[in-house]
Order: sequence, then structure tokens, then C-alpha cells
Amino acid sequence: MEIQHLANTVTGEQVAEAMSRDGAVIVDHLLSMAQVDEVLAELRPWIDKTKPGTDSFNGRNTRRTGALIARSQICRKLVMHPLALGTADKFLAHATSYQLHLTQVISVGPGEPAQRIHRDQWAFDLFSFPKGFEVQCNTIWAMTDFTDENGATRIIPGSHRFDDKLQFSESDTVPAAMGKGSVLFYSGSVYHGAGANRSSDTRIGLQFIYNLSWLRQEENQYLACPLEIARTLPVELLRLMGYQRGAFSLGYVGDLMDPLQVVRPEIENDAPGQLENTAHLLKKQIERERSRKAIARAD
Amino acid sequence: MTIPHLQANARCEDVVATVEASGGVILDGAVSSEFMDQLAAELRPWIEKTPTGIDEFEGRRTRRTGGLIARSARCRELLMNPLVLGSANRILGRATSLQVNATQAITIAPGEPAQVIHRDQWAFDMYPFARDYQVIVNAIWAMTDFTARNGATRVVPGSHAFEDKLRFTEADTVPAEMTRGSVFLYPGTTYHGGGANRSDTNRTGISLSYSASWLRQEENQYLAVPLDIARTLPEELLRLMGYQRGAYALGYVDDLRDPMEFVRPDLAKRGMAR
Repeated sequence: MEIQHLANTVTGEQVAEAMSRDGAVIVDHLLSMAQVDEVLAELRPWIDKTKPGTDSFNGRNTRRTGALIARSQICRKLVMHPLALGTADKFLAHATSYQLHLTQVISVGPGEPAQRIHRDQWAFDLFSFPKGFEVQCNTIWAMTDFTDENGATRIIPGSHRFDDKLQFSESDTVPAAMGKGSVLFYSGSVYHGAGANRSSDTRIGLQFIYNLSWLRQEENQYLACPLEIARTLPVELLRLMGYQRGAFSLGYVGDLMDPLQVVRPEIENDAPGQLENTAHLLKKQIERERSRKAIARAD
Repeated sequence: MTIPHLQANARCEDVVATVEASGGVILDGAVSSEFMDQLAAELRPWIEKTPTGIDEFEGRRTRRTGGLIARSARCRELLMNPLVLGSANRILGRATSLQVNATQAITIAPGEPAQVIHRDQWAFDMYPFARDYQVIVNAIWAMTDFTARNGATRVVPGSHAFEDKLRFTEADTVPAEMTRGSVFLYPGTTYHGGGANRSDTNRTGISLSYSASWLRQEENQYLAVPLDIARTLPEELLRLMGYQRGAYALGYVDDLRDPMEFVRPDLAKRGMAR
């Protein structure tokens, strides 16, 4: 079974449908070559400074560079891309809200062997979520072409419906081959791993992951993005980073204060009490979808 | 059926076994009355400044004062109480590690009606955890006596083994009556609620909860405790606050750095324990 490719005119709903069916899908050329080059130019100094991994899971010839909200203006926009959020809205709609789980640019160097096949949701202490209960919506934005040879992510399509804690080898997988500027969407439940890089070039993927807001974030956004930078960011992005309560009450500060008030005290505390919050979140959701549609039209 | 009591010098195994059997236990006189005097003095200015709740769940005559690690040295001691922490560790033993969930002084004023009966773990978006997987342990430390009249926490005994999303009334509950300095320890599965305060004085409890470290904290410790205070805290407390990865990878900073680097670079670990 191959990974389905969709055109970049697709809607978030269609991407989410494909993810629910296959566990993974590729949207071709969501970014232009020029846009990718712009992203890479911004990230290059940080990638160059990053040390390679210290174990085989993280890759001894692989650089994982994070804190992209603090470090890259363009990443702040990509993380809020209407197609990514539109997909997460649908794919994670069973939860009250979702948040930014991590931001990472992964540079797999030549000679890196294949990563062990795993499920990303195993990060939650290997907790066995029931089949069909998705906790993450993952994106990998191809900053170089992704090929079988250079270590394209290896996926087992349909494996989001498999039992938990299974072991696989590379021969069970297919490569998420895609052109530079394309985006791989996959669930936290699909078995996958970074491929071996048998080419002579570095394979670079930009990863943004969204997870349910009652789970811990893999990247600590409160520490990774200094407060003086956070204060300059748009409110919608701040909420996604966790400057908003998860579910009803999670993540408050001090005397039940909305965490947004830590960075933007001038904004009225609009995350009220625990019972009233449900109706409030629903209202916010509707407003958010409206403004997103307005943005899409403006594009 | 009532809530069992144990002495403060009980063995950890007995505390855990009692919680597993009954859904909660009271440890009598776990700290002295003098300790509670000092704690009350530390917290008084903060409690006075705290606004009352804005809905009936929070309690319109109830003050919930948080950020206690930043505000009170004695709350730090309570959090690290060896018997409570040791028991919490075992009750949450299905998870790799535990963390601070929230710190809150709850002051219920006279006239406050009873809070709706609930499970603390409903905070996790009502996710239906299996009965044998505990995700929260809460310790309510009595800063005043807790009596049936002044709003002692109402508990449905044995309800940690009940089905999820049930509704109860006060008639189904018993009060967690205890003396000042005692602590009521219960898991996130036990149905309970703040009692109605029909007395003419405030009832204050210090709620210090722990959760499995792969879940989101109810109180954001990175924002609630300023870094300049965090830098002065003991290593073990910092790890408990979340300056340690949850499970294997959760909570790193930028290029997979140990969050401890932000407060105590000398103690930070490199690489992940995958």
C-alpha cells in the first residue's frame, strides 16, 4: 500500500479524512521552492550549531533543532498554516482543544542508519490509547526532496489500526517520498521511522506536531520561547503554545489565572471558571474557524 | 462506611494498601500545630489577596490561592513529605514518574454551599482511564480542623472502584473529618467535593496534588514559580515541579535539552533515556 498524495488545493477536512483512513497522507508542494529556501536560510545558523544525537533513536548523525517559535519568524507562520490547523481541528475534534506539542527541524546526515519503527504517541509513557482515539496530529514539511535513497520517513500505511507495541522492520514500510515543499501528515498512532540516508546529501524535514491539550508537551514552550519573545507573538499563536488552559482548567497560573495573562496582562482574562469554560471554548472554536476562513479567502 | 485513619508514623505500604482498599486515608497529626501556625502566617497575605471563585464549581465564597511553591517554604516541605510522596509514588506506579499537578490553599468561607461531587481526574478532558491506572493523587492538608459542619471534604467511600461519570448527592458522602495538621490522601478516581460551610469560621485546606508526568500539569509550575525562586530550590523539588523530562522525552527544551539546564545547569543531563 502506497501513501496517498493530495493536491495543495485540498481542505483540512479532506486531509483529516485521509489520515483517519490510512494514518498518513502527503500534500504535494504546499510551499513554493522560494518559500522553502527562505525557511532554510532562517534556520541554517541554528542547524549548524546543533549537536548530533547521542543515541541510535535520535540518530548519531542526525541533528534535531528545536525552539523554532523563538528562532524563526517563518516557522511561527507555518505552525499556524490554515491547512495544518484546519486538519488538526478535524482530526483532533474529539478533544476540547489541542496545543503545540513540538517544533523541530530534523537533518538526517549521509550514512545515518534507519530509525527504529515506532509510534510517536509512545512518548506518553507507552500508555495504550484505544484504537481510533488519536492524541496527535503530525506534520513533516520537506525542506529537501524526500526520497527512498536519502532517508524519507518510512511509514506503514493503515498501521494506526494495528495493535500496540508491535515490532517491525524496514521491509514492512514504504517511503514517504515527496518533493521539496510538500507536507507529510500522519497520526501519532501510525508506525513509522526515519529512513536510512544512503545518499550523499543531508535530508531535512521540518516537524510541527499538535497534541491534545490535556497531555504534556514534548517541547516545553514556556522555557523554549523566552518571555520577552513570547510577549511579541500573536495571541492565537500564544494560545496554541499553551498560553491557554487545556480542557477546562489545566495549565492555570497562581490563583487560577489564565496563563495568557502572564505574557499579555492587558488582555482581559477570557478563560473563565471551569464550568463556564465549555461553552466558552465552543464559542472560541467557532470564532477561530470563521477567522481562518477569512484568512483563506484573503490568500 | 467511613474514611480510615492511620497514624502519621504508618508504613508507606499500609498507606497505599488502605488507599487501594478504601479510596482514601487520613493520616492523623502528620505535622504539628506549630508547623501549621507558621504555614498559616506564610499564606495569610496571599489568601487575603485572592479573589473568590467566579462559578459554583470554584465556589463564590471560596478562595483558591495557588503558586504555593513560590510563596511558602513550608508548602515545599509538605510537598516533599516522605510518607505522602512515597505513597503517591506507589499509587501512581503504572507511570514512569510523577510530578506536581497543582498547589492550592482552599479557603471555604461560612455560607458556601457544597461543591458538586466529582473526580479530580476529570480535569484531563474526562478521559476514561482504566480503573487500575491512577493518574492523580491529592493530599489535602488541614490548616484548620475539618468538621462536618465547617465544610470538611465530602467523600463517597470506596468510589474509586465505581464507574465513571456518575452523579452523587451529599447524602451519598461522608465528611473527611480531621484535626489541624492531619492530611487526607486520595486518588483521582475517588468521588468527592468540598463540603458546605455551615459554621461561622473559615475552613482552610492545602491541596497538593501529584500526577503522572506524561500529563499536563493543572498548575503551570514554569510560569507560577519565577526562575529566580526556582534556582534556589532543592534538586528533588525541581524535578518534581517538571524540571525533568516526563517518561522518556516529554518536556525537553529546544535542541533536546534537559529542562533542568534552565535552573541548575550544573545538574542537567544530556541525551534521552529512550
